[in-house]
Amino acid sequence: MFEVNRGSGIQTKQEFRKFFEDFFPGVYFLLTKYTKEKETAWDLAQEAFIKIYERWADFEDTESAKAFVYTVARNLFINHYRREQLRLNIYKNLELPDFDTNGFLKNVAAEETLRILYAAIDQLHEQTRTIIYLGLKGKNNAEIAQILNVSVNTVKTLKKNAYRTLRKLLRKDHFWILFLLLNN
Amino acid sequence: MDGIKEYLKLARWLAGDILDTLPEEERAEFKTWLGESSVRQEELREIRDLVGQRELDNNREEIARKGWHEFAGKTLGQRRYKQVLKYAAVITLPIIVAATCLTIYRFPDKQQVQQKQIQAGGTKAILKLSDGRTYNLEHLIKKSKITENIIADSCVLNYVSPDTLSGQALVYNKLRVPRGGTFQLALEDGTKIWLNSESELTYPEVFVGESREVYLDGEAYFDVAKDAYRPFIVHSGIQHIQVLGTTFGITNYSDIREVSTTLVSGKVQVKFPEISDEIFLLEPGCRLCYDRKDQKIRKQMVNADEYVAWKDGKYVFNGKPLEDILETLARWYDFQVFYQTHSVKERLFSGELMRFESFRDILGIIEEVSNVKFSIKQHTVIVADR
Repeated sequence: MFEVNRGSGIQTKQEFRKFFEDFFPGVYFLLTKYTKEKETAWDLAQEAFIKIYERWADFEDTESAKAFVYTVARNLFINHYRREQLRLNIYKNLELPDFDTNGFLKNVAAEETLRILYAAIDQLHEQTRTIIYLGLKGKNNAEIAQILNVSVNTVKTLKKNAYRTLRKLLRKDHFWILFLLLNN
Repeated sequence: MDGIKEYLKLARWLAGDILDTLPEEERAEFKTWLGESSVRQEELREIRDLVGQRELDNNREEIARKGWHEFAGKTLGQRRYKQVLKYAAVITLPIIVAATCLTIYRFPDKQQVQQKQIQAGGTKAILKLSDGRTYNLEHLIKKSKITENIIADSCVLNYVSPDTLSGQALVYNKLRVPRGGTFQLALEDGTKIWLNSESELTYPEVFVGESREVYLDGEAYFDVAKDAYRPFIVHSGIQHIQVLGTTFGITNYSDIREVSTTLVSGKVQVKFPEISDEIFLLEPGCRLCYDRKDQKIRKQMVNADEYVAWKDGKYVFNGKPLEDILETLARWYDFQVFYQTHSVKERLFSGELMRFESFRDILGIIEEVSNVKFSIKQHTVIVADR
């Protein structure tokens, strides 16, 4: 309890905030998908991050922390689910029907993909961002041009520029790893 | 669950693939990995479908911010401190002091990095259209057209009035300015509005009918376009402010004791329909406030500019308690406050501060004048007697 400056101290806490802001939304969305209740998902996500905060000094790299937070989220959900079942007196249905490890991992991968996409796209300017979003929704250049009331060529140029920017951003592979490097 | 790292790597590849931004060597690695089994291809398709199914949401940032606020409150913030204080008042103080000393002693150069964390706010806002589409207006560099009638600039959102009013329906938009932000708005009738941090305005895209009505939470400054035939009405919590053409400021933060309207020029009438039938007429320089605690309405003559100075990038304080001042600054610089000595809350401060000044300088000025000592820890400012 008296370890005020454990690990590398405040430095680590700053990194933790960055980590929290990067991963909290994804964990929350993932839990929303499973709990189907925003409030419960929110509380479980908060709990997951408290768990990781308590052990923050033990992680050697971000990959481990990432893997840990998703795993904790899963365990918390399972506990919650079991408690709910008991509370509702549905004893017979204690198995977790569509919550096998594999399905969960796929959802984690999807969540993580979205997180990287958003982090990259958020760095772009408004109009370009809209174009990318529309593209992700499956619209082709002509359709995008029509929606935004610009020429197809404009869409093409903006897309090209956007990809160039994104390529640069993604090569750094997560700003937040970069952030760690800069701060060490 | 060791497999999870595999899936996290897959996610990185997939994101790069979707955006077509994978470096050549990684792309090759990805393709080889994928080619090794059809199960993998099937799984990748399923993940891609999951990505595609998800609603495109722009509010990740907000969730992160809200999440952090709650989290910080639970683990690092005031609540924790208060609990500790309650049970071990004697121990707490030495620990905080020790931690602060240690930090300075062990990381002399990190201290500067630390202080950079609290920064002045900027032009930020989130626009929500009636159909649910949302736009983050933070990183705009040049003008962009949101719809035919809405044009966003780096710090102003402009509404163009339509050619004809016939067939127009009342459609509401919402502009939300987060903590640490400010934004301007020019409505279709020519009314200009400055929104302060942590404020939200709901207003129609086009004013239809006999009155122009908007809804405000938080703080805003209005420069209302004259239109004798259509009064402009601001609904702000329990205040209803009706005007014909004038400039004034409204403060209505749910976590602040007072809600108020301060008139700069022109004429307005204020009603509190939920609590009183009385109609209050304000003249320039008049500030009308309602105290949530004792539920009284008070009218006072003030230097009105002082209350709306924020829109010109200034803070003017005239004998205000330190607690109020830090609360105001916290909305702009986005920090939390912890009082090591409670009596300093009541200490009065007068002065003029520039909003875009560095946080350190602002604190320096207050420290000098009010004889207090500030130290910064993460996003918390610790206040002590000097």
